[in-house]
Formats: sequence, structure tokens, C-alpha cells
Amino acid sequence: METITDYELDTLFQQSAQHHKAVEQINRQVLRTVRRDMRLKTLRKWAKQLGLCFGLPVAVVLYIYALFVFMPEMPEQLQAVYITIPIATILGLAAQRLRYFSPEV
Amino acid sequence: MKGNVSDIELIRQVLRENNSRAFDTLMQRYSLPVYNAVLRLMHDEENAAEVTQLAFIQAYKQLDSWHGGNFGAWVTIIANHIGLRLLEKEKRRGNVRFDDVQSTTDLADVADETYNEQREEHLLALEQAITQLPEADRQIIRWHYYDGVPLQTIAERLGQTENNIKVRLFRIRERLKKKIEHGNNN
Repeated sequence: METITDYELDTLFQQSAQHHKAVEQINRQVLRTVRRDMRLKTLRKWAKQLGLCFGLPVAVVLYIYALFVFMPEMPEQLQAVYITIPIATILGLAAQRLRYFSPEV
Repeated sequence: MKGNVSDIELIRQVLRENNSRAFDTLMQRYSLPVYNAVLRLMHDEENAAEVTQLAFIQAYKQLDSWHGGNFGAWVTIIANHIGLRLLEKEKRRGNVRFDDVQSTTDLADVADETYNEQREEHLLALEQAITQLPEADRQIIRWHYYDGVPLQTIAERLGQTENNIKVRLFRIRERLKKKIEHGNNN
């Protein structure tokens, strides 16, 4: 059976303390990255929310305004394109949302 | 108390509430065992620290793909993957000459010269033995050896004489030595 001397035990304590310091440093670095990522996530979430609340209505209003102003002067084919593009966009976005929808929170 | 909260609850807090403290608690729980596991693989403290850091960041990014089980073991697996990739890269660069990354003789090429397999085992045994001590004894060890608090200050904090603390520390050390010698079996 091997014996541990006092000197060896002291060396082990020293090394263990070094490991603990290294681990503390690791934790600090990781936490910094995690917090930065969380801040970005929150920022993106708010940007998305603001975009949805204000950006989308603005886009719709601008589109309807353009519809009234330019539509009468447009050729029929262009009018069809003008109507089809937003409908296709809405359907595409809806399909995408449904595809990634999960009832779980 | 965070210490009583289960891993799954902490992960839920990270995912749903963006709670960084919950992730910090997880790291406090598992970073030392993960670091030790990586150190056994890499044999180099600097690389082990870097790999452990990357593993926890990756674990955080993939947290929603964790399906329960032992969180520490999961992070260790991630860390080992990263570690092995790093060793492979080193090998390709020609910095390491080995055919089998598990071979300790070949891994010694990457190793820090100060690395010693037996000492690492003893170190693990010591850390495990410390966790098995009663809280009061553990606190003395923590103060004296990890925070560098002098015995006199510890005595004042605990309302005991310095000699009392010396005797207590001597007994704790003897207990720890025995545990290390017997591989924590007693």
C-alpha cells in the first residue's frame, strides 16, 4: 500500500487550489459569453416584437397607399403581380410559422 | 437555495427565463469534474481549460437538445469530443506523434512535463475525499488551503484557539491521507 507523506499532501492541496482557480476562471469566461448571448437574444426578441408591432403595420399601410396611388395607372398584368406577391409572402410566412410551431412552451 | 435545485429545473430556468445564474450554478457543480476529465485526456492544463470552456459554451448553445440524464456526463462527452478534435488537429499539424489518442505513452508527447498520472489520480481522490468530509471540516480546508486564510484567523472565525484548529487540521489531514491511500474506499 502506498503512503502519502505530508509533503505530498501539501503538493496535492496546492495543485488542487490551482485547479480550482483555473475552473473559476473558466466559469467567469463562460458566464461572460453566456450573458452576452442572452443579452443578444433579448435584444433580438425585442427587435422582432417591435418589428411585428410597428414595422408590419407601417409596411401594410405603405402597401395599401401604393395600391391606391399607382394601381389605376398600372397595366393589368402588373396589377396581378402586385396582388400576388403579398399574398404569396403571407402564405409563405404562415407555412413557415406552422412548420416550426410547437404546442410546448 | 440553488444547491437543492435539480439540473433539469436549472436548465429550464436558463431556457425559459434566460437566467444566467442558473447556468452559473450548473457550472459550479460540474466544471471541476469536467476539467479533470479533460485534463486526463489532454495532459495539458492550458488546453484543458480552453476545451472545458468551449464545452460549456457549446453545451449552453445546445441546451435545448439535452434530453435529461446526467448533465455533467453530457458536458464531459462534449468536452472529450472537442479535446479529441484538438488532439487530431495537433497530430495533423505534426505537433503530436501518436497513432492512438488513448495511448498514454504517445499522449505524453503533448503532455505538459509537469503532468503525472498518479498525482492526478491522487488529486481526484483528494477532491473526492474533501467532498465526503463534514461541512465544518470542509470549511476549514477551504479557508486554509484554497483561500489562504491563516490558522489564527480561522480560529477567530470559529471562536476556538489556534491550537485547537491545528489539532483539528492535523486530524482532517490524516483522514484525507488515509482516504487517498485507500482510494476513497473507506
